[in-house]
Amino acid sequence: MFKGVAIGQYYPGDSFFHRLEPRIKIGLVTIYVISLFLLDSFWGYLIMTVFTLTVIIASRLPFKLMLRGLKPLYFILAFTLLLHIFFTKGGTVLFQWKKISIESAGIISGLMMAWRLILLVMTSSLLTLTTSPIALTDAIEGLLSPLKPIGVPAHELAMMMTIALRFIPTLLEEAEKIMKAQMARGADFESGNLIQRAKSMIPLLVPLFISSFRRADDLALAMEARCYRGGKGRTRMKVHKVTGKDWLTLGGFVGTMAVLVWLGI
Amino acid sequence: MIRLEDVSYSYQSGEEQAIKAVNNISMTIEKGEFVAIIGHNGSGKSTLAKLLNGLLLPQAGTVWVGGKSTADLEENWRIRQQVGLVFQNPDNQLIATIVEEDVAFGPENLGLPSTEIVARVQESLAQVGMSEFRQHAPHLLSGGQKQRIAIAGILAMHPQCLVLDEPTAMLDPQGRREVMDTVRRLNSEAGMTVVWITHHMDEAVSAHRVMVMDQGRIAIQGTPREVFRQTELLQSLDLDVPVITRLGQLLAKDGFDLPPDVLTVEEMVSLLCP
Amino acid sequence: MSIIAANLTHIYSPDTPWTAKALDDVSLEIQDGEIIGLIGHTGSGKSTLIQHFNGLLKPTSGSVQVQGFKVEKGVNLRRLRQKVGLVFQYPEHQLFEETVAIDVAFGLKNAGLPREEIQERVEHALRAVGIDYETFKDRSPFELSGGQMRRVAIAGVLAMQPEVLILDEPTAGLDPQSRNDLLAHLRRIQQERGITLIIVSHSMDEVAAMVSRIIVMDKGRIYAQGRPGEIFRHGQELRQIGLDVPPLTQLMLALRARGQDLPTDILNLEEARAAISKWRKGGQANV
Repeated sequence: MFKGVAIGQYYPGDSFFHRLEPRIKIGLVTIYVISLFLLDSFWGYLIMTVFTLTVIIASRLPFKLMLRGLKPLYFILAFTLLLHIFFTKGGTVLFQWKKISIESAGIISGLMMAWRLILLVMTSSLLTLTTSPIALTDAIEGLLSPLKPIGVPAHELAMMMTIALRFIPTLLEEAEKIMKAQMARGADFESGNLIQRAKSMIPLLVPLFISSFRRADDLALAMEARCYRGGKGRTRMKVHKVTGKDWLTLGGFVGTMAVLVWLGI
Repeated sequence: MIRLEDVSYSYQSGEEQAIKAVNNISMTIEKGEFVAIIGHNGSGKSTLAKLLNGLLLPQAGTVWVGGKSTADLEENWRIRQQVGLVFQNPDNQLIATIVEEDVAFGPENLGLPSTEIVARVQESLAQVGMSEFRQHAPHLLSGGQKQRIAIAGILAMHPQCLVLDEPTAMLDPQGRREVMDTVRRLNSEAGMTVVWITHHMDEAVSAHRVMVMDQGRIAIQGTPREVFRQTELLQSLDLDVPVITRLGQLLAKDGFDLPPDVLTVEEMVSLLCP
Repeated sequence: MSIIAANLTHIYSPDTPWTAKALDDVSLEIQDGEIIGLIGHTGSGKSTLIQHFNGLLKPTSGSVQVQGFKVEKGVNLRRLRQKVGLVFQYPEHQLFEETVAIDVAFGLKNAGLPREEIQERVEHALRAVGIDYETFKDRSPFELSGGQMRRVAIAGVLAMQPEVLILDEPTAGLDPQSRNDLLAHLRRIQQERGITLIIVSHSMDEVAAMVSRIIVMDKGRIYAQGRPGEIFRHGQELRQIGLDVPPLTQLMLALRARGQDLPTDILNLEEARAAISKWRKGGQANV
C-alpha cells in the first residue's frame, strides 16, 4: 500500500532550475509569492503563469505530476470559486432567482482567486520537485543559522527533518504491517462511530509508538557510533556555493518583479 | 590493537539486582585478526561490542584501543572512529534518504573537507560493491544491501577495526551470504581487523579465533577447530555445533578415521573420499 | 480440503508506475492436517500468498478457497479469520496491552466470547507455547525476553483456536535455544489439535525435520514442491534462486559429484550417519 510512496516529491534532473543553489531557490519562490499578491491583475497573473510554465518546461517535469500535485487542492478551488460566484457582487447580473443572484464580478474574482491559488501551489511544489530533501534541509539550516545567536537550533531542526524524511516510509510500512497483524486477530479499523474508531486505533498506535522509540534508541546509538556530536565541527559532503549565476538569476528576477510592480500591472 | 583488562559492566534494571553483562573479561584482539564472538542472547556479547568502541565505558577495568583508554574522554571520539560498530537492524542505523548522503554522515562528523568526503564515499561504496546504488533511497534496498551500506558508512571513517554485532540476524540467506562475503574480503584483502558477533555457528567457522561467551564471561576460546571440538561443553551452553563437525564425531564413533574437528563440507568430502 | 488456490494472481498497485506482480498464476492444494514448509527468498511472493489465506489480500485474478470460504469481496472476514490464524514476522511488535493475559485475550474479545471462555482459552493458549499462566498473566508483555514475547504473541493467535495456523518466519532473530523451543511447541500443538500448519521460512534446514511437504516459491510462482527429501535433491538449483542448501545435503551432493553412490534425500544427522556408514561398509549405499 505504501511501498511506492516517494520521499518528499523530488523529481531528479539536471536542469538549470535543478542546479540553482537551494537557498537562492527558496528566495526566488518567496519573491514569486510576494509578487503574486502585489500583481493583482489579469496581465500580472498571465506574466506569472508564463514564468511558472517556463520553469516547468525547462526543468523537464511531466505535467501529469504537476496536476497530481494539485489534487488535494480541488476541494478548496471549488469552494473558493463558489464562494465568490455567489457572494461577490458587482457588474452585470447574469442570473437571478429569488434572493440568489450571480453577477459578473463574482465570476471574475472567483476565477482570479482560483488562478492565484493554482500558481501559488504549483510554484511552491517546483521547489520540492527540483531540490533533493537533503539539499532542502541544508538550505533551511543555512538560512536559519544567522539566527543561532538568539537561540534558534538551526542544525538540530535540519537534522530532525532529515531523520523524519528518512523514517516516514519505514514507519508507514510498519504501520501497515501492524494493522494487518491486528486485523488477523480480529481488530476492526473501519466500522463504528467516531469514538469507536478512535478507540480501535489503540492496537495500532501503541505498538507503533513503542517501535518508534526503539528505533530512535537504536538510531541515537548508531549516530554516536559514527562520531555524531551535534552540529559543531561538522562539515558537509555537498557544499552549496552561491555562484555568480545564482546571484544573477536572483537579481534578474527581483529586478523584473520590481519593474512590473512599479508599472502597476 | 584492542586490549581488555579485567573489564566488567552491569546494567541496573529497576529494583532488581544489577545484572553483570560483562564479568571480568580480559582479552586482546590483534591487528588483521578475524575474531568471532558467539553466545546465546543475553550472554553479554552486545555489551562487549559497545565497550570495544567506547559507547559504553567499563565500570571496572580498562579497554585499551591502540594504547589509549576508552575512558579517556579526550580520546573517546577518536576511538569511535578507529573502532567502527555495525548494528543488527540495518533499518535503524541509516540516517539519510540517499545512500551516498548516508555514507557521508561519519566523515562529515569528523569534520573532513568536502573533496575528501566525496573520495571516501566512493571508495567505501566500491569496497562493499554498492557503487551503482549511490543515488538510491535506502528504504527501497534489500536487507543485505542496507547492511552493506551501513558497513560502507563505517568504512568511510577509515577505522582500523570493524565490530559487527549480529549483522546477519535479520537477513535472509542471500543477504547473509552477501554481508559475510563482503566482510571476509575486507579482512583478507584490506587487512581489516574484524570482530564478528553472531549466534550462527557456521559463520564462525572461517574466523581466525572463536570466543564463546556465557553469562558475561569467556567460556571457551581458541581456533574454530579447538572450540568446535568441544561439543558437549558447547551444548551445555545452549549452543549448536556446526552440523558437519557433529557428523564427523558421530562417524568417528562408528569406526571412521575422522578427527573431531572437521569444519566444512569440502573438508569432509576430501576426508571421506580422498 | 483445507486450502485450494487456482490460478491465483496478485498485482500490487495496478495501473501505477510502481505496479508489481507478486503472485503469478499459482495453483495449489493443502489437505487438512498437513504441515507445510513454504520456502522462498525475500520477494518471492510467499508473504503475499499467505495473506490471501485469511483475506487480508484478495486475488487480482484466480481464486482461493480456505476452509470452505471463498476469499472474495463480501466474504465474512470475521469468521474466516477465526478459522485461519496468521502470525506475522516479529509478532512481538504487535503487543500493546498492559498485561500478558489481556493481550492474548484481544482477539477473543473482538470475537465477543463470554468472559469464562476467554479466561480458559487464554490459559490454554499460553500453556501451549510454554508460558506459565499464573506467573506471567499479570506481567507487562514488554518486560519479557525476546523469545517469551514472541511466544505470547503467538498465543494471541492460538487462543482463537484456528483450524489453519500460518506463521511467517516464526524463528527470525531468535537464538538457537529459543528457536528449537518454539519449533518443538509448534509441532506439539499441531499434533494435539490436528490443525493445518503452514510455516513460512527462508531456511529449509529449519523446517525440513517437521514438515510433510515443502513448497518452494520463486518470482511469484511455485518453483517446486514435494517431500523435503525430494526437494533437497535439487540442491544446486535451489542455491541459484537464493536459498540455502542444508550442509548435510551439500555433503551428499558433493560426494555424489565424486562418483559415490549416496542418497540425497537426507534430512537429519542420524540419517546422514547411517547412509555414510552403509556406503563405507557395503561399498555403496542403498537409496
